[in-house]
Amino acid sequence: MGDSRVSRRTLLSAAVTTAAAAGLGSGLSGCEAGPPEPPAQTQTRPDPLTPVLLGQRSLQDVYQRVLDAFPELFVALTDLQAQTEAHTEALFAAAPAAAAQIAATASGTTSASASTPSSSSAPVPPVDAATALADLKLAVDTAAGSLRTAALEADGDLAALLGSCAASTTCHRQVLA
Amino acid sequence: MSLAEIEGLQAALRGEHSAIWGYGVVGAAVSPEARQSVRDVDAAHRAGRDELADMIRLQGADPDPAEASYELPFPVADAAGGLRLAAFLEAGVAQGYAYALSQSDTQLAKTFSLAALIDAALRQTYWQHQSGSTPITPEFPGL
Repeated sequence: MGDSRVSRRTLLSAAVTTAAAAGLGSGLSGCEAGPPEPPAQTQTRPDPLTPVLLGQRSLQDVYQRVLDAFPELFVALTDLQAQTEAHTEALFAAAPAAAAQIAATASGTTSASASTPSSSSAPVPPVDAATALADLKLAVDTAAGSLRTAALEADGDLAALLGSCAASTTCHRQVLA
Repeated sequence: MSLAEIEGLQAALRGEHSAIWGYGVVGAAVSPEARQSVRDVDAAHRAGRDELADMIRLQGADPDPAEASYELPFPVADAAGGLRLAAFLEAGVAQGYAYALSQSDTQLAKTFSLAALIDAALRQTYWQHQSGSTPITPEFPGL
């Protein structure tokens, strides 16, 4: 999949090599060297399932916010929340590379925020029940769409798991309608 | 299309055969008000069966035939039993399509299997809602 892709870094290094080969750099003697370039960071291509897992976490957060604010909003809401948690747990277990990327990012964020006071903006609780339900429907729609897309791109047992989670999440949306 | 993909579609087809037979039992058991829903769902399964058979034939294979009859998972003596059977049938159909999805390597088969898996889960939700089962929605349909 990635063989045909040429990263920006590859293009830049190819341009530098070509310029050097053409002798363009040799006529610049006497120029002061610029500031040292920062060491190249290791570029890790995001795992395709990373956004799916993050979407699941985000959906869980929305469920929790809605239930915290309006615990009596919908009788089956705790069932839907529990099933969403089960989906998230199963997907994290089935996609270890994506889970590791998320854990690494979270770890980096935690250490950065520990050293630098941040002005983090916590999500605002929904102001009324109708808004809460609308927010939840949108989050469920988004997660279901993400799961459907991922299921079509995956293979084997992972495709079946993603498809199953997509189907269940689509049912959640139907129940919320 | 690989042999594995064809076998996945055959599994989904066997699920559709079973559901079509089972909805005959469901239709006889449920209340008159629910019979139109049963007819609609039965028609959807027949359409799924025909589409699967066409996909399998296009690959030069013979679609698996239906059995003469199937074993009921539990006795169906009344309308409530009919609704429970309908939910059970959809869970079985979902299994077939989830397996087909896992075996698919073409976008055509993947897209068809995923859409049918979602439809089966939605119908299972509908019947579970009608029968008052909780949770209403299947947690991992097809798995």
